[in-house]
Amino acid sequence: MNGPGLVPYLITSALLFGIGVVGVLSQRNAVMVLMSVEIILNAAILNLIAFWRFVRPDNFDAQVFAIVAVTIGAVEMAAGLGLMLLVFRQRGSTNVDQLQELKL
Amino acid sequence: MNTFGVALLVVWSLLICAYGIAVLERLTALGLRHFRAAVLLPLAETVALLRQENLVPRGADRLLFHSAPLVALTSIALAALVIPLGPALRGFDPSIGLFYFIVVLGPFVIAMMNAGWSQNSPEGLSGTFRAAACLISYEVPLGFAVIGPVMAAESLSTARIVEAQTGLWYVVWQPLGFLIYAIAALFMTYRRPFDLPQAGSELAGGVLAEYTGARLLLFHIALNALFFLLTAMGVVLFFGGWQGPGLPGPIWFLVKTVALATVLLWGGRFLPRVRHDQMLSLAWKILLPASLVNVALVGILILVFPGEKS
Amino acid sequence: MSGLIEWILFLALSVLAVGMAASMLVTMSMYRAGLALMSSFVALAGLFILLNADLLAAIQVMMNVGGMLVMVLFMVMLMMDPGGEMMWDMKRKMHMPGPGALSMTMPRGAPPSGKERQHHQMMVDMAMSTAQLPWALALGAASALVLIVLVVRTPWPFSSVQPTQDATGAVGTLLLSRYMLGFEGAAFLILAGIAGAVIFARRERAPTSRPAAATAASGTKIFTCPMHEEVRQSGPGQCPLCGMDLTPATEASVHHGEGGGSA
Repeated sequence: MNGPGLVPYLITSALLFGIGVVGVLSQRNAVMVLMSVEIILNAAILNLIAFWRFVRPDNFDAQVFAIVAVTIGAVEMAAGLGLMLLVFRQRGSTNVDQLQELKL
Repeated sequence: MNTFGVALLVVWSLLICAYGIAVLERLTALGLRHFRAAVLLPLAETVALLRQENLVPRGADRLLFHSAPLVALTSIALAALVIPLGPALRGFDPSIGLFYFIVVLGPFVIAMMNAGWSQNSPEGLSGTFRAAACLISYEVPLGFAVIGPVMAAESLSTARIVEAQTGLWYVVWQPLGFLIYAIAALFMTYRRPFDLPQAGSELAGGVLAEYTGARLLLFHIALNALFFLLTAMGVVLFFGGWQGPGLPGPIWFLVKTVALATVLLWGGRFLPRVRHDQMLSLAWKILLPASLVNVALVGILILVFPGEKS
Repeated sequence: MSGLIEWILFLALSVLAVGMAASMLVTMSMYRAGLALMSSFVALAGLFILLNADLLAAIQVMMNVGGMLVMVLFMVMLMMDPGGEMMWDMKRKMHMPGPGALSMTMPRGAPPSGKERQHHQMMVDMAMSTAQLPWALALGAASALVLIVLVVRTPWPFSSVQPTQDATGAVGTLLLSRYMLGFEGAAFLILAGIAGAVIFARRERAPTSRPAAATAASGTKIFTCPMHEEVRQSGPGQCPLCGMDLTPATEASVHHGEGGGSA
């Protein structure tokens, strides 16, 4: 019996993507929204690696792409959290419903 | 030997090593005259801790509270698999061995944070923030100091790094890297002069404030075992691992590790206890630039003296 | 490794990854949500190992465990109820049905009048998800379904070549030769991120102007609810809106309101 091919991995990442979308759209705290964006990013990276393994395993460019994507995810998380800290200090809450207007 | 046997062996060895480190610590504190006291004190403390009541603070996050010491021990056991004890005694030798070592110690930091957080006490929480800040700050110089031997041996595999030191130990021409590694190792396991997060005079015992009895014992074991592990890795990286004339590999390895641990523990006692904000500035303002300089220096040395290594 | 073991590992790791991501949205404790996210990423790293990408699995664990740790620290600092105990107490006392945070969804529609209004207001304050939860669920399920259908029906080009080369050396060579620009660009990005985050997080030198504290000035101690600052009593007691113990009104609690105190 063969191991799982390409499609099962893609299905897993599609499910993760769906969960991330639910989180981004429905969570009330901005930090939770950031975490859901991370889930979506990692679902995309899983796709990258699955394609590398099953379509072009001799070409390591995909792994370089994945490394850069993980790096960007980490930087985005850091910048987002810094923003959240600033917002919290100025507005007193990280509730997305209360952050609807640019004016303080 | 099947996997379960290996796992059991690793756990037992870690327990014995943790005991050994505890003995060494007492020895360096009391002096060689009190050898018998140094050997018996850790056993006495173990018994005292085991007899202590097992308290769980009110409102504690039980899942995290109970699982934290186990996660800490598991991550240390997994990291210990990568250390080569002899020319043929390697538990686990992936090609990214050293990277795996650093990665697997990440959950240890998580376990300490969980421990501090789950206690639901203000003193524990302030100790947790400090401990987490310190652990994170020192992982970075540790990672950079390790790059020196990796560049020299041209491999991340621990076995290959040991073999590449047959000619000359790395500590001889990478002293800065070794110094950074030693400081980071002392720091991450809270030894003198860095034991503020755990000192008796710190806010009610710091990050392990509410832990009592057998769980506290598990944490002490984990910290001691981690120190042994970091010292052993230091021997692998900088002192040639198991290599040495005459005696078989594992014996040399043990001798070197004990010697290095003694030097580190004893040396640390001479320095005054470092304050928390000083610890963080030490990590970011001094150790990090120094480790970058070290990487540049080692690179230059490798290019200029191609015959220097191995 | 044999196909059956590979299938079993794949299913276990996939269920863990997806399950932990879902439980991140359901749990009431923010700390546990961060840990659930971490476990989901570690399960993903396991899937990477199954896909023969060991280097990426190690990188994934290192970046995400460390990164998520810092994020969890931030959450603990910034949020009102990071352990979820307040929500758990409320859920228990009021017998709300439903698992975890799903029992405390935002009530829809206009606020009812009279006695129900307080309960409604409290639910609005305490809910963990916004009023768009049904839309979000529908959109998430729809996007996942569309993706799955697309994936299953596309004839993918399949290569049966087994990856043999050691990834670390190959990736290192690529990063320093063909992708040097991307490598240096990523380094620049990290530097910009660090600088930006540090600048964001600096405290201002000049004190910001605060709105004048309403009553807590002289003599009488005013008690207020940490969540509903409009509630004011001259003596200690319970908040009529949510049942929490009233605390003395200080400058900080008046100013920060729902944020729950500064870091």
